Formats: sequence, structure tokens, C-alpha cells
Amino acid sequence: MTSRKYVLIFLAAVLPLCALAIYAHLRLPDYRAHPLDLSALKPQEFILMNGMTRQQTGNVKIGHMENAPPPAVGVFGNHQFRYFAEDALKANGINKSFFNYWYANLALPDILDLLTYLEQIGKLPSELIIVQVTSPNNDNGRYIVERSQELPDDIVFLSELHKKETGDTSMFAEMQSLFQGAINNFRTTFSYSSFLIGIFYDEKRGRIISLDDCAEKHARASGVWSAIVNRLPQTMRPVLGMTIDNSMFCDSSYAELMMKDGALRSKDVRQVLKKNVNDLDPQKARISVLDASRIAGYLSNINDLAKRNGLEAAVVIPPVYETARFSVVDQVFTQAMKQAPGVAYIDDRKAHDVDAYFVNYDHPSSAYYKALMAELLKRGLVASH
Amino acid sequence: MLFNSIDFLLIFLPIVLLLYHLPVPAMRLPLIVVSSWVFYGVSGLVPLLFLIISIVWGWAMAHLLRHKKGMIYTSACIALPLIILFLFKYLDFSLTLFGAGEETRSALLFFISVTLPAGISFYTFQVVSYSIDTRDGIIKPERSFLKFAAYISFFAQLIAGPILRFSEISSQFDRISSQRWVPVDARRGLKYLSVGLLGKIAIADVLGILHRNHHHVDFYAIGTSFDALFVVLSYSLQIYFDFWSYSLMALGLGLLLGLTLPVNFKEPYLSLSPKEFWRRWHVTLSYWLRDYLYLRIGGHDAYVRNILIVFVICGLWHGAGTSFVIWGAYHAVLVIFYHFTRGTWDRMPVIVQTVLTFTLISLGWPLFYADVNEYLALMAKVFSMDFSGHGIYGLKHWLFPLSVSAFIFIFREEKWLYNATYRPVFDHPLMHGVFFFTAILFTQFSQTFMYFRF
Repeated sequence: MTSRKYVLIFLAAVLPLCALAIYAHLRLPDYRAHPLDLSALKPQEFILMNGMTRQQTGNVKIGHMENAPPPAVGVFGNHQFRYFAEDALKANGINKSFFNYWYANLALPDILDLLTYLEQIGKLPSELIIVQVTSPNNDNGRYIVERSQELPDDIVFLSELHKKETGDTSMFAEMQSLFQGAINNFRTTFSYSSFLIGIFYDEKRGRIISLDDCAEKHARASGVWSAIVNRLPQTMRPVLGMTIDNSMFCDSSYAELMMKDGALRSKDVRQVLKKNVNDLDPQKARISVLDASRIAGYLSNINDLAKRNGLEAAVVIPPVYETARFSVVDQVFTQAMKQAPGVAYIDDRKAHDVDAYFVNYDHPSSAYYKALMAELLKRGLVASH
Repeated sequence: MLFNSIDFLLIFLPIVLLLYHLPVPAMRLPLIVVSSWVFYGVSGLVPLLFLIISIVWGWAMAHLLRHKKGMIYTSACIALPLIILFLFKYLDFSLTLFGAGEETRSALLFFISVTLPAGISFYTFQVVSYSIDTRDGIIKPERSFLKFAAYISFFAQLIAGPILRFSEISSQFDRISSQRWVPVDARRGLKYLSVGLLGKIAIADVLGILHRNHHHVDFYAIGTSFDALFVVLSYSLQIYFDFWSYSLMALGLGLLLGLTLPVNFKEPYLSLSPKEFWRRWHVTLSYWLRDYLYLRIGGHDAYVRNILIVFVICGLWHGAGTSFVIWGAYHAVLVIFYHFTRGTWDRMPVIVQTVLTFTLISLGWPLFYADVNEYLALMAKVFSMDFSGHGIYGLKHWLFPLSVSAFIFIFREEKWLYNATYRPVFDHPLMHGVFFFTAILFTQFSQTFMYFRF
């Protein structure tokens, strides 16, 4: 076979498959354009997150924040804070509306972009912004300073921060924005989850699951099909499971359920707590001492944004489950905090071995959030009424 | 940038290939250099800066070596790249070794905190071999900076080899710079690229997931010897497929650009002895260590000492840490043991030699990810002969590494991978197209190549 013929047949295989991936991606419901109404959820009703792509999951949040009235207290962070729910406020007698905007793997520049965007559309929380920093000893610093590339392009590229970083008006900045946007679109389109979910998922099944109805449906969930589906790889399981019924997600140890306050419902099964899951190899550190001033800049900008809108802002550094360890990223972040002294920090890194504070290595439990809200109350950053 | 990323496969590579195959020969070397620097620079400008410093230094100092051949000049030539390598890779380990306190660490935080530039060990070795070959008169100092820069920074092999000698690539660069159309072996190029991608994503990464499962349980409390063996086997296969896949992709990328790179893996797990293993595993590193270290410190004259030195340095090349030193020493002991028992060893049945070699090599790999205490605990588990209880890994887990092992030991690469003639079962472009597309879909789930950190 000649090289030319080989290349032609190779492309004849690749290009139609790429077209199919694009088609599958376009089939996915856009929860930003057609937002799910979280505030309409009844008790025991949840948004089913299984079988959503990361982009869709993010769009549930974006759609909500663009359309719903802003809460008094808003949490901005990433998956590390996904179990931060309204009960933490109620346990401290704080009677305020609350929403947890946790989103994918957002880092500090992403959060600043998001806040800037909310400021522009007039949807900032009305009293307190809680910003979660990815714990330095969690992922070697990557999701402190590097953009996650998971926010919608228009939010990133319209933000003041982005304009400042790229030189604002130049054609180069525009081109860079377009290029980055193209890469982001490629990434979301050519992903196995988008491909499989786009092809198989039947949106008519709906996204709301009521646990009140589960007792009845659970009988069906334990059928033969359910048994087969439950043996499939995790990616396929929700997709194929939902083609039949949502009832397989009645098993709350398996389902990913979003509550009306934006937090995820904590799973019933407690995971194994293991210390020092991240090996803190300095060779894998994704931030260096050069980044300290950059981090300080982000922290100060977030604080300034809150102040100019008459809001309180608290920056929380949550613990991860570990022994007391020296790490480069930890040290760099501490330097950054010193360079941004006006910010209200809740630095909980030292609570690294309080078992009750963790669901697993890097996800704090409701006990932690209750303690955190008590601290915010004590420091006067939020009032009870 | 990673080979197994959307940015590389769907944006960078098509653009480079299109520009490269325009009928403008004079553009090709500059394109290799610029694209390689873009490829490297997107991960950070500091690493790119140090790459360029090493290139400029290596190129300029070679001209000095042409006239001044003394040891001092040679040492000076190779000193700067080695110092850079030390500061980024070995400083932290040295500070730990000498018990440096937090004050010292804080003073040197810049070097400790800057992420190890990817591929620094690989390109430093290329600069050093070039300098020494120039001193020895094997090659002449290259006049063209562009050609030298292309040699050091060629993106297909910059991050994880194969480690090239200038003499291997120089004439090929001349050829592509003079031919209007570069002949391309697309069949082999795309085959190696797609098979390499699939090997990384469908085998190495899946093995990695299986192997990492034990991080989520209290392995040493509930694991059995079977579980420990599972971890050893799956990691051994993972590291092989990870590096094999990368090297195969590098070979394929080279062919798509009309350049032939050396084969870095020659079915190493079929080796009959630890010594043979090093002629089949990461071949270009083995020959580099032989030519520029082993033979220069006396070779066979002081075999035991020199083998120990070479393998300890080989361990350190792979990583800065006590466990890497021990890994190197372990391999030295294996090679020396074979050397002195060769008569008996070689009389064993071939299957016994192969299994024994594979087992011994595999038992050493966990030192790549575990610290010494964890490694010892794992080995204690392996040899405790505790086969009772349910353990962590069941038959469904074992099926995958056992199938992969069977594939390695049954199918010869010369028949299905490096076959000279077209065989539809292994060479069909439709199949390779599907491999390529499948791999693209899973790039986001794919892990960084393990050898990038070396």
C-alpha cells in the first residue's frame, strides 16, 4: 500500500468519527442556555449529576448564577468544597440565604474571573463571599495559580483580569483568546464522556430525582439490567443506566446528587481516610517562588472586588488529611499571604489530622464547615440575621 | 505539551506537518527549532530559557574544544549543563542528604521550587555527548547553530528520548534541508503514532489505575501476597508500556517528518539475563552510559567497581532520591551476579532464564514510586507467603495484567510492529485510524508519561 493511499484511508476512518464526536457534543443539553431551576426543588429532590459531562455540570452552576437571585452568602471554590451545605449556617444559627458555587477545578484566577463576571451582571452575593483556595498540599499547587480552562470562554475572556494579563486591546490578545477558546472547545468536544453521553443519553428521563419515590423504584433498580449496568466501567454505568430509568441512582452511595444550595449530597458510604495521599514531590510542584506575588495579586484583587461592592470576603485555606509536612507549595503560599496582608484569611491547614473534618483525603466534612462558619461568625464576617 | 494531549494531536502536529511538507527545504530546520521551542515553552518559559542556555553553551563551547582538548576545557564545556541539571534535579535531594534546615532551604527556594524542566536529563546528556565527541574528533563542531539547536530540541524526542548522538541525525538534517519533497513512510509513521497512543492510554494508564487502587485502602493491613504481587506486576507492565509507547510515538513522529530515530526498546522483558535486559531497555541510555562513562572509567579493568558506579549513576539519572540509588545498586548487583554465575545461568532452560530475569527486574521497579520503607513493606508482603483471605485484587483485576503479559511474551514485535512487509491484520489504516480516534477521546483521562520527570 502506498503512503498516499494509507493516509487517505486513515483519514477516512478518523474524520467521520470526529464528525460523530461533534454531533454527539452538539446533542448535549446546554444547562446554561436552559437552566435547571434549583430553587424549585422540593425536599428530597435533587439534581442528578451522574452522566453529565464536566462542562454540563459547570453550566448547571453558571445557568443558576445568571438567572437566580443572588444569595446573601456565596461560596466560590472547586470540588474540594463540594459538600459545603446550608446546614453549616443553620447549625450556627445563621439565618441567611446561601449558595455553594463550587465548580470543577477552579483556581484563584478562575474565581477572580467568575467574580468579575458576576459583578458585571449584578449577581454578586449580597453580604459575604467565601473563597476557597485549593489546599497547597492537595495537588502540588496546580489549581492555585493555573487556570482550570473549565469556565466558559466568554466569562474568562471578558474579565478584567484576563485583559490585564494579556495586554487588553492588542490584536495579539484577541488572537490568544480565540486560540484558547478553540483549544477549550476541542477538549470538551473530543472527550469520551461527551462522546458517550451525547450518543446514548436520553434527556427525556429528566434530571430531577426524588428520593421519596425511590422505595418503589428501587425494586426495579435491582433487576437484571441494573445488575449488568452496575458491572460496567464507571463512565458507561450512568449513561446506559439512564437509558432505562433513573432508578439505579436511588442507591445514594453511588449517585452524585446536587442539592438546592449547590452543594453535593454527602454519600452514605464513608471512604477510607488515608493520610499523605499527595506525595509532595518538589519535582512535581506546579508553582514556584516566582508565583508568590501572582497569588498575592489574585488574593488582593478578590478582596478589592468585595470591598468596592460593600461586601465581606474571606479566603479559606482548607486542610487536607496528612501529617505535618514541609512542602514547597505550602511555603510559597504562605509567602503570598504575607504579600497580601489586608485579606481576611481562615487558614485551616493546621487542622490536617482532625479525623472528623474529612470525608476523605481532600474533601472536608460537614463538621468542618460548621466549624468554619462558627469562625466566620466569631470574626464578625457574617452576622446571624 | 504532551504527545497524549488534544493540543498536540489536533492542533500542533497537523500545523507542523503541513508547514514541514511544503516544498521549501530551507524552512524545515527553522520550523523544527521554532516548533520544538513552542512545544517546550507552553509548559513554562523558565524551562525553555534553560534549554536555550544549554544549547547556546553546548554549541559555542564545542568550537573551543576543537582547539583546546585538555581535560580542563572539556570539564568546563560540560560543567554548565551539568550544574543546571544539579540545581533543578539534585539540589533538594542533596539538602535532604546533608540535613539542611529550613533556613537553607528557604534561601535556595527558587531552585527547589521551580518545577523540574521536563526532559532536562535527556537533553543534558545530548549536549555532553556532543561536547565529548567533538573533543575526541569523532565529529566536527557544527557551524550551523540552527542545526545544533534542532538536534538538541527536536520535539519528537526532547522530553523522553531516545537520546540521540549528533552523528545519527546530522546527515538526516542535511537531507531534509536540501530535498524539495521529503519522502515519508506514512504507513509506519502513523502506525507507530496510533499504536503508541493506544498503548499509553489503553494499557499503561489502565494499569496505572489498577495499580493505584491500593492507595485507597489500607494495603498493608488487608493485602495478601497475591495483592503485593499484583502491584509489582502491574507496575512493571505499566512502566514498560508507558515508556515503550512514548518511544514508539517518537519514532512515528520522526518518520512523519522523514527522520529515522533509533529504536529504544527491543522487547526487554524477553531478556535472558539482567545484562541482556540493559541491551534491550532504554537502549540509547545504556549505550550512552557505556560509551561516556563505563569505558572511560576503565571498563572491564575493574568490572565490579565500574558496574556499581555506572548503575548508581543510572539510578540517580532516573531520579534524585535514596530509592533511585538503591534501585541502581540493585541492578548493579544483578548484573555482577550474572557475570560471576554466567556458566550456570546460561545452562538453565530459556524459559527459566526469561522468567527469572523478568521477576528480578520487576521486583526492583516499585523503588521508582515507593520510598525505602514502603518498598521494604511491599517486599515483606510479597515474600510473606500470605495467600489467605480475600485480599484486594480479584480475578477480574488479574485478567488485565495477565493478558498484557501474555501478549508481551507470545507476540514478537518483528511480526506485528516492525514487520517489513504489509500485513493487513496489523497494518490496516482503518484500524489505526480507529486507534487514533479512540486515543484522542481518552486524552483527558490520560496521565503524564512517567519518564517525563526524569
